[in-house]
Amino acid sequence: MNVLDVLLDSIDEALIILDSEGKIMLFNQQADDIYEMMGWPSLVVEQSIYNILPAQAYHKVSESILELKLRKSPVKVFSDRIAADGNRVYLETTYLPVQQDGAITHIYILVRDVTMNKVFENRLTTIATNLTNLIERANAVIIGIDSRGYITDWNRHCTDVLGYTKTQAFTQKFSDFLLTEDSRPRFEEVVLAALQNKSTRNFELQVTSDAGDNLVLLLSASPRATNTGQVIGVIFVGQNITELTVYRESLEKMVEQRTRELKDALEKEKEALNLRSRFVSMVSHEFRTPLSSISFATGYLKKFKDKLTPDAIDDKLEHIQQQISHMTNMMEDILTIGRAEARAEAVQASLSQIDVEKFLNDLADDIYQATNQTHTIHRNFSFQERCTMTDEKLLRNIFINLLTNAIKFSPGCKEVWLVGRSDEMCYVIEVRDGGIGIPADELNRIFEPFHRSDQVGSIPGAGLGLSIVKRAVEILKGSLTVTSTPGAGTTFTVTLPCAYESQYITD
Amino acid sequence: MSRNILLIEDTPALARDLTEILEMEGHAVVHAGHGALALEALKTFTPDLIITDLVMPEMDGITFVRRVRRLDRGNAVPIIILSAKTDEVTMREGERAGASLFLKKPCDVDILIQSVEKLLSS
Repeated sequence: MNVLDVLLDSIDEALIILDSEGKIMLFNQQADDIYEMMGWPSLVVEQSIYNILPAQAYHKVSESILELKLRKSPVKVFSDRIAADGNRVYLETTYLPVQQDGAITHIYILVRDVTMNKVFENRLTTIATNLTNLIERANAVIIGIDSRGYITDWNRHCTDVLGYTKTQAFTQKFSDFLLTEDSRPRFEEVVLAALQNKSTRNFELQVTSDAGDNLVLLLSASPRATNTGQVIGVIFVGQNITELTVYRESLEKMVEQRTRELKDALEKEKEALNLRSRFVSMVSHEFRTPLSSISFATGYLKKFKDKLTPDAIDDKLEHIQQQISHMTNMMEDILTIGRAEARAEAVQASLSQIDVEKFLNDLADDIYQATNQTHTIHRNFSFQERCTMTDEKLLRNIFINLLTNAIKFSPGCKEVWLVGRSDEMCYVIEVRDGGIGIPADELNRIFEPFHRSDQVGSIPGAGLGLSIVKRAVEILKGSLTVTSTPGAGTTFTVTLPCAYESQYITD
Repeated sequence: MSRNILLIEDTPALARDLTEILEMEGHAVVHAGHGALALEALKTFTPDLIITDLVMPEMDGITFVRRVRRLDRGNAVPIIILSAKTDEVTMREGERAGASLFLKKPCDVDILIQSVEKLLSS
């Protein structure tokens, strides 16, 4: 074996050297191996290659050599063939001309078995195709952008969700194309992170579809990098969670609503307990006091009747009667409230024609007498119509309580004012005093049954008057307001409508 | 025997009832509308017995009893609480403050008179 043979056998490619006529001058071991693998006749030096080649290879080889001779430059041919064992084989053949003085003297044929490369390439192509299909058909929104923010990928699901086709989406800038104004900062933050090779998982993005609907996408953003690791864009993968968001919001609202209802119920329950405890303490104190007085007075009469003058006895009996009527009034108040509470909706006004001015004057006179003439009740009326349809009993409830309160809570000022006016729409009647007043933090509680301000001290009462007033005004479809300055006095303003709708009231 | 009684009661009708009963029994009654007024009265007046209400403006009965018990001369004087506030907690509070007796309103005249006489003779 000479030096040339060793050299030839050590190269990767099969090498066959022909003279210009096709006679085999030289070939190496690799060439021999390929001919054997293909099941072709063995190469023999000094023979023409055309005689050795089988029919299926002859045509291609002679054609390639012809081309080489015409072009006088190398020719590269790629062929796939079936080997002797039935496997497909890919061969890359290069024909190189060797020239002397412009004429081809020899032809070098270099053959390389590229089957492995080809298989690998096929596999890559398959993977790439599968991957493309997967992306295209995935039941997820997949959007790719380049480093400048332009859309480079847009799968079918994107079109389903957002309406835009791939053609419409490509080369658009993601942020201008899809985002709502509010979503921009978050989007820019995520893109910036991805371009710095940091992924962001599960962030919500509000986008606008082709149809103009606002949708919520739940996306993950990952950097898109080259083989060398250079980040060249961002890939977004995610789902349209608009319906979920709407559902979530409705759930949140429902929970909020239920919580509020529960809180209201608890508040009502608390209020009921509070009411009961106020009732108990009111009954305990406010009933015990007149009862004590009655008890003392009867005991006094029984024990000392022989020593008492008839006048003194009458005086005591009168006192007992006063205490009894005080208790009876209190009882009536409690029953009024109790009845109203029991059938809150059922209480209706019973309308009749009332001369409001005369009614208020008479009532003021009665109260002046009943309160031992302690306070002057000043009156000032300017009613457009003196008479109106209203409920006398409810009206009486309202103004007895307001006037007696005004007197009761004005120990220092011996005057109270009753001022009324009216127009086509309503009657506005004010009860004003210069009494002890009501602290601001108590104003909203004074209408609760059995509520009594700490201010009242020893002034007796069940804490029911104002709740009765409020109830009566409500039944008459009117309104009740109060303003007060502690130490300077209080004004209650009752506004009642002049007329009622026909379906309302009268029984 | 005529004795001096300090009565603290903010309800005028009751104050009148009690004064009449105690005067009929031959005692002298000094009336104060609430605890602070009564403390003022005690500066110049030494009663043999004190009868006090509890729920009153300015100074309530419990505070009043405590203040009396802190006075040098106030340790010995018998005190009756006569109140419409009759729950257990209030009664115990009255006792701890130093009241000699707790009577509930309404109270029978005979029981009141018996209690007054008993405390005055002890």
